[in-house]
Amino acid sequence: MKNRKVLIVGATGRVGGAAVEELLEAGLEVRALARSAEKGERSRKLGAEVAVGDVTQPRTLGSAVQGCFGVFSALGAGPGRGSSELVEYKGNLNLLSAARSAGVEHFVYNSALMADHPQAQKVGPLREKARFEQKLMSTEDISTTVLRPAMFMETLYMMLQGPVAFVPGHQRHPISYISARDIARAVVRAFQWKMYGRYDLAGPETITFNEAFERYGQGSGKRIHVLHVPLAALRLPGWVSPYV
Amino acid sequence: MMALFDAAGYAADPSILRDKFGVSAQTLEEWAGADR
Repeated sequence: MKNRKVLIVGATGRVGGAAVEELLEAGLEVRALARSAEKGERSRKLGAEVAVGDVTQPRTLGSAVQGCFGVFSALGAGPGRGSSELVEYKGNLNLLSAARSAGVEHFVYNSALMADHPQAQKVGPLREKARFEQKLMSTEDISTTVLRPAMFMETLYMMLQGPVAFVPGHQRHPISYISARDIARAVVRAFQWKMYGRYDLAGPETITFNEAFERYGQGSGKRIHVLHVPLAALRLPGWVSPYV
Repeated sequence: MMALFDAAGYAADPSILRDKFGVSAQTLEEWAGADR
């Protein structure tokens, strides 16, 4: 691998941020796309080059992808970042187009497990991820990898308010978990070993939320009480959850 | 997503990450412990 430079998009997020660290640790060169120099400061301090640009502004992407052999997209829509369609679908399409024009060899995309499940089509970010996956997998002039991670372990934090974990719904089915760090390690392997195709990614445990919080409590030394609330509670004003 | 989890679960095969990618993934307990 002569050219070792990878553009990471979404470098200020959990997975993208971990990918900056893991790719640098693996000896790859990293360029991080940030919407401002200020937002790219953490990546710069880690040793990455920073390109200022925005996936919703295609003209800003040409110079960002120039000279890279790989692109890793960990883009995510969120507050202040635009709608799911604008960011997850159109933004990634803009990025893919720029990568193809610049002759990038390998595009790795961080999607989500079951993004194409019928029930997931009611969830904007999953629906748009599935749409982009389809486009990406049908693109023939660039090698592609789609990673579909299970639920981020980090999300468990977000369900905690003090010692209480608020779990919407009965949640009797098992869930697989994975840390952002382990997704980033898979990204390194995808580039190093030229792993193309689509892969579901999960850590070693597939258990219910109740069991997950029990293990979280054991590991963190905290006593956690799980409180199941109706799914409808997610729509109440003031409820903050990544899992609407 | 919670409605999806409630209806269908969210389970995947852990062997892909371990065997194909060679990543020895953290358990929840290890991950939570590292954050102590």
